[in-house]
Amino acid sequence: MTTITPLLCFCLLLGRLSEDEQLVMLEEAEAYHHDALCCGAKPDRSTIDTAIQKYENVLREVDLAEPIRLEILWNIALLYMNTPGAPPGDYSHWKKASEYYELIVKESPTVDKRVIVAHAQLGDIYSRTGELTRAESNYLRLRSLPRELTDEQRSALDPELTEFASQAVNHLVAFYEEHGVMPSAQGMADEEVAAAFSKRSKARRDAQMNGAVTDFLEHLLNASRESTSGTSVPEDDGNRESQVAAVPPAMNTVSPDSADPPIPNTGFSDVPTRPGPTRAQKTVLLLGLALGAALILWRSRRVWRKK
Amino acid sequence: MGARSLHHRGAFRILGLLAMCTAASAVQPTKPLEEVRALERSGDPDLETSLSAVVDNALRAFDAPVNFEGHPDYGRSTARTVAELPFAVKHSVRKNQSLAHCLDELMELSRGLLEVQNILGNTCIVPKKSDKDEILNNLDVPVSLHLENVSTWEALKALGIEINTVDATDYSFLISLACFDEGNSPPEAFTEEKVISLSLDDVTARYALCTIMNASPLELSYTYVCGTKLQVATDKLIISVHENGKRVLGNRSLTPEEWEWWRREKHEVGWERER
Repeated sequence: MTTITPLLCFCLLLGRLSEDEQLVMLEEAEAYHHDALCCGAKPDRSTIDTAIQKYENVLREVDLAEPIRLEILWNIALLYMNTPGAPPGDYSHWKKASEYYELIVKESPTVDKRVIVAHAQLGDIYSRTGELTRAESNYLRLRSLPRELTDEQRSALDPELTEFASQAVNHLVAFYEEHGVMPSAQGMADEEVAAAFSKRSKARRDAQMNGAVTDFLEHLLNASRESTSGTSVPEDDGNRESQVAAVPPAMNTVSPDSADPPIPNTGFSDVPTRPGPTRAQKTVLLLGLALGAALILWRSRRVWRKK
Repeated sequence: MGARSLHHRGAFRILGLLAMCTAASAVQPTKPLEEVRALERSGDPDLETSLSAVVDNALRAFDAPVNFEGHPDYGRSTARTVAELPFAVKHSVRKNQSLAHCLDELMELSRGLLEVQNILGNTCIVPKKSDKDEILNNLDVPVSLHLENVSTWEALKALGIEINTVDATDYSFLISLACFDEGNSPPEAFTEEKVISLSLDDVTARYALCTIMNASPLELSYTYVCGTKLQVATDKLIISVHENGKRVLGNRSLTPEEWEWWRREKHEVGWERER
């Protein structure tokens, strides 16, 4: 008795819940989770908040079997991701969700479908919150996972594993474009990512160059039209005259995209200054300009002669 | 109801002469019952049913080999073909509930009919005796067993033959495997790996059975089902195989030849005898 009493007092002081109390606590949290996310209706903020709070209490107070603990971490992350009412640009709930996704990745004994989705979610979340290195790292993890698993593990996780690994390429390229950064060394080491990024960059440059040439030619045409409708009387030789137009702007007409948001020092290298037209392209443009100017001058001389 | 003739001997020695077993007769390391937890809710808390049914449901909910013996008082009937139950109970296993807590609940529901024993590290739910020498079922029968380099099945078969030879109860003893319910073969190690050697004198059949299970290269559990006198008056011991605690029912179908072989083997245990 003398040894039992201090032990009992110690347990009471610890405030340790009995197993029955722990089971009830878990059941209550699950009931709120069910009401918050599983009824098909729009999530209610207060139910979600209560479910999160109860689950977090369970994590603190209940001795959980490992699979159940992982399930609860997952549920909490989902609850945070689905919390409504956040103002635009406020990613604080997603940031809280990321803490739980990180725990899932850390504590899962094997790679399973939750781990795969967790990495994908972390990539998206960190992309939104501006933690670019972490974002890229998670997207790249999706790419490396299939290579690290045995055939048996892969087949158990497919088709999701292959799908996420494939989509990660698109996510990464979009991520680099959105933030105006180059892939890191790790990103460039992934051949598929490097190739996709390079292809996308070239396509964008080509599109911009084509757009610039089209703009210039349209400018010449417009200038020609303006000169025939101006004060000089054009000779009707079937050709339209155009006044000497102002010399078009400098050849480096590739206008930059709308200004990128300022990029914090993330360790990524900035995208180099958009390259101007090549030498050959410049020559062609100059020739075209010279021809147009010569034509205009010739027409103008004829007019002056007649006067 | 359920009166049973007691052919118990006088004072017999349990743990008299224990010789070696090649595989450890020492306790196999098992997870503490408080750490084994149900991963899902199981059973209907509002459904009234038999104690055997709730125990069976409970044990399936946990990935742990737990042995269960039906109590002869509710496992048999002289008047009906279906086991008569003295009372009905309600029970469900709750998510994250520990096996220890669940067993406590089940023992309380049994109203003192059952108790949990740890025998050589094996958790066994057994009928509670009023007298330690009482023989409630065939696993209380005293046996002697001396085996060398035999397989798991050979050891179990030898035990079954010994029990039926001693013939200490009104009920003969049959051994079967849970995987047979699915028409499947047990793992090859069950019949092929001859690693069991033991020498036991004057121990309960239950003790010998736990010794065999510990010595086997496979993870095993048993369920003891009491028969009825209107049928063949046979008690059945059903052996289950586990992998990492989880009960497995095999994945290879038995061929007709294999079925015949098993039928002959079970027959040789000697359960079909005159009563």
